[in-house]
Amino acid sequence: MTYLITKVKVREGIPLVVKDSICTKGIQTTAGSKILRGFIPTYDATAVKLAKKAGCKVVGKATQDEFGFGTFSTNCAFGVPKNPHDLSRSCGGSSGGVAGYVAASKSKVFGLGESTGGSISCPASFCGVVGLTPTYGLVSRYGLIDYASSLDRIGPITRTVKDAAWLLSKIAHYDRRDSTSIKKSAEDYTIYCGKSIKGLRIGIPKEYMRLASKSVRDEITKATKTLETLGAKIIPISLKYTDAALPAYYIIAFSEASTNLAKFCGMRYGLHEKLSSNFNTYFSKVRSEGFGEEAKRRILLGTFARMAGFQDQYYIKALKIRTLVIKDFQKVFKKVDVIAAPTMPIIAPTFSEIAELTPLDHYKMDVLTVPVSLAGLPHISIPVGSVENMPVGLHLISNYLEEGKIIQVGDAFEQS
Amino acid sequence: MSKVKIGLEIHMPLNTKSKLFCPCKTKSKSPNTATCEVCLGMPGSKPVLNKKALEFAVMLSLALSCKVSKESRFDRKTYFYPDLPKNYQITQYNSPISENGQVLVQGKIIRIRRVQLEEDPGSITYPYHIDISKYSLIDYNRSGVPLCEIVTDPDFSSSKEVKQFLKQIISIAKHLKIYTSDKSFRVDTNVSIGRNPRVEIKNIGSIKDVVSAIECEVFRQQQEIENGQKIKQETRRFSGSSTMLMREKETEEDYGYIIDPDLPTLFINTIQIRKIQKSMPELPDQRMQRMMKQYKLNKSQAQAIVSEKELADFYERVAKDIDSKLAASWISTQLLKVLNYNNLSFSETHLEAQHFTPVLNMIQKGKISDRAAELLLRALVLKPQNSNKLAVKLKLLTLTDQELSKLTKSVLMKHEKQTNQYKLGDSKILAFLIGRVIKSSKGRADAKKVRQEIVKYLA
Repeated sequence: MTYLITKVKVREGIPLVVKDSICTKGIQTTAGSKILRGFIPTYDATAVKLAKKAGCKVVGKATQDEFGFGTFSTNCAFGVPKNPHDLSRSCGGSSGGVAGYVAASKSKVFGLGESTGGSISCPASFCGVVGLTPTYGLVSRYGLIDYASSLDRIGPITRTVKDAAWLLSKIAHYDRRDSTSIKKSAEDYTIYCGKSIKGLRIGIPKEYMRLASKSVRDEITKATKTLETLGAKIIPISLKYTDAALPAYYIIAFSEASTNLAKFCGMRYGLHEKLSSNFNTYFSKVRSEGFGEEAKRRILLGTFARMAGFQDQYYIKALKIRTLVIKDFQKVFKKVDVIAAPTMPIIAPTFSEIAELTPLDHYKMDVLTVPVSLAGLPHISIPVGSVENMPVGLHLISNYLEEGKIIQVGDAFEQS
Repeated sequence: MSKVKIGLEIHMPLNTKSKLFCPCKTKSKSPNTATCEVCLGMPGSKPVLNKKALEFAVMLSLALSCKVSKESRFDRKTYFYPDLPKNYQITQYNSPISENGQVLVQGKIIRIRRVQLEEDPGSITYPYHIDISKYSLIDYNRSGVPLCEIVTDPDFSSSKEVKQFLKQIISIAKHLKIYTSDKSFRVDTNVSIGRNPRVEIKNIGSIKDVVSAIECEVFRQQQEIENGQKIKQETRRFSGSSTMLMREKETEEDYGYIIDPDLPTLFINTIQIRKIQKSMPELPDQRMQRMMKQYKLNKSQAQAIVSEKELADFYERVAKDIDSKLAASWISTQLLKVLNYNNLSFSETHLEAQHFTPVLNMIQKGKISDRAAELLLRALVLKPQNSNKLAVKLKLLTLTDQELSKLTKSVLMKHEKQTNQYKLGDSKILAFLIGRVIKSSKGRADAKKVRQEIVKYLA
């Protein structure tokens, strides 16, 4: 199978497939990078620990874009996952291995993905499964190998909304070992399943619809019609910082990533080289050898954006835009309960189409998922239709800690 | 000569039980035993702030009259070095714990620019010696130990002021019980002359070295200027006898600071600040005021005694059992003189009240002359021991009446000619004889008593 880097034999329990950037005790964890080959954590990430406590058993560590750096799971050091609906197409990224595995599996399996700029929603949408990204800080990041710490979130990837709600209920706990963890008591999210959405206000952002391809847009429009027949009130809205969010997201994500990846230098874990010369030469040798092309690109761009002479122009400016994006959403949430939009502007592309894309084209694919990522808002992607026999995902976004609302709407659609 | 301007950055390890961002102990015996995934920078680990370290930093800020920020943040300072596990240091760049304080040093205001919290890197050892070692070893026990960085404005004009300031800062930190001297602090200093660019000397490990480094650097810069050379902005290090170039400004590192996204903004409200303020132990200034009242000391005595916490503690122990004014006078003058002469701080000696109090007792009872007591102190400071026994051993005690009369007799017998002159009525010769007796007593005889003894003997 192309979805797993490490497979684990398990006899009983609920099978759980975990993105490889999430630490698992005694099981190799590489974050999809050669530089971490052979790294076996001595501890479980808090989310894994909690899932295990709830009866889950880790069956494998899923392949991914190196450190989460990608939209199509094509920047993988240990195998590119193929879309189970069409093997010539991408699973999406960066949690492509998890989504592909969940979609391809014959029996029920749960997945733990991780999103920085849409890495749960995108592969869920492309593979036709459910991907839930909770409010930033709701699920502990302890044990997650960082991409961009202010954006990273762990969330469930499952076949149904109810399964996602169940897994979230188990892993969303306050954790004192993660300083950004929210102090909130545990909640049972499955109670939002089966609830009527009558009277719920759902906003459709015109900017998002415009950015999607026509065929995807048509499927989303059909889906919103269904929501309307279920009793929801559809309200057209505008999110004017949508365009500015993309560059701001990449500057913040790369800046943080370039410091988060500094620790990988072949000293205490992962890839080692023969010791020779001074530490500078040694570090450079290990990093040149261990990082893939996209990781190197992001480290260089991120380092540039935070240098003394360019900080104000890039990193600081991006932080300001982030605040504007958050305000933009807060204004909208005064008028609506949930925002509905296409998850991705297109269906899963073929590998040959992807080969034609420039790095910038790749980045642009995230235009619909980065604003919610910057804002740290909860969102869920659910399969709502198909184009060319490939799944289309509907994105449902709610205000902070209102996971219940998106679960309610998602489940209502699923049951309709 | 143009004005010398000196500024300091002091990195003070805080005396917390655990490290700044993980539960590992700050004290440990064998290398790499006080470590965990956080202070080793293992993938997936995250920092959690030690509240005690924050409290200590706020205390120090208040003691230095700094304004504590209601909102402060941690930043990542990125540079690659083997002792830095994450290859970035968590420090504070744009929003430190506190800013804008001041300390009065010998009547002069030294402005404190900021006080900030940061983590210490690990430590590197080079087996045998750095120059010949084929490899280096890294000990991560120190990695993550909390440091408080104190940054001053360039308000010092001499190494003397710097020395006094550092002593005061250490005394303050020790009074607050946030620092113990078993952890060495490190100082970076900026030195400039007139309008010339400033030169930074990094990583100096003791007050003595800071003083010598500044003196060497001022001398070097003066020489350069006299020789018509331009002073360049650069970073130097101190070798023990001179400062040496590390890097020039053109190659200064750019640390690419960003906010540490793993640590949320730190909010400190007025109530919390007040609570910390109330819990603060007595500071050196307050102690000085109290000691002046309680022990009836004059200001300069009290100031000298509180200059070092251990010295003040020592004084208060001594003053329990003996005349507090006599103790103050001896500690603030003779003892400090002996310490200065040996270039020692009080805490570097192991002098205890049990060694010192008997000396004052001897003085009080006239068993030792002031001069002899000072000689006794010199020996005690270098090797604290039973002072009564030492005084006997070194023959420093004043002679008993019996010893004196014996000595007088023998001296007079040696000076028959002068004795006869005296007997014949030459009373001027008496002074000479007294001098002879005192000399052969090695200062242990009192002139008055000697005179009485001679007159009695020759009568």
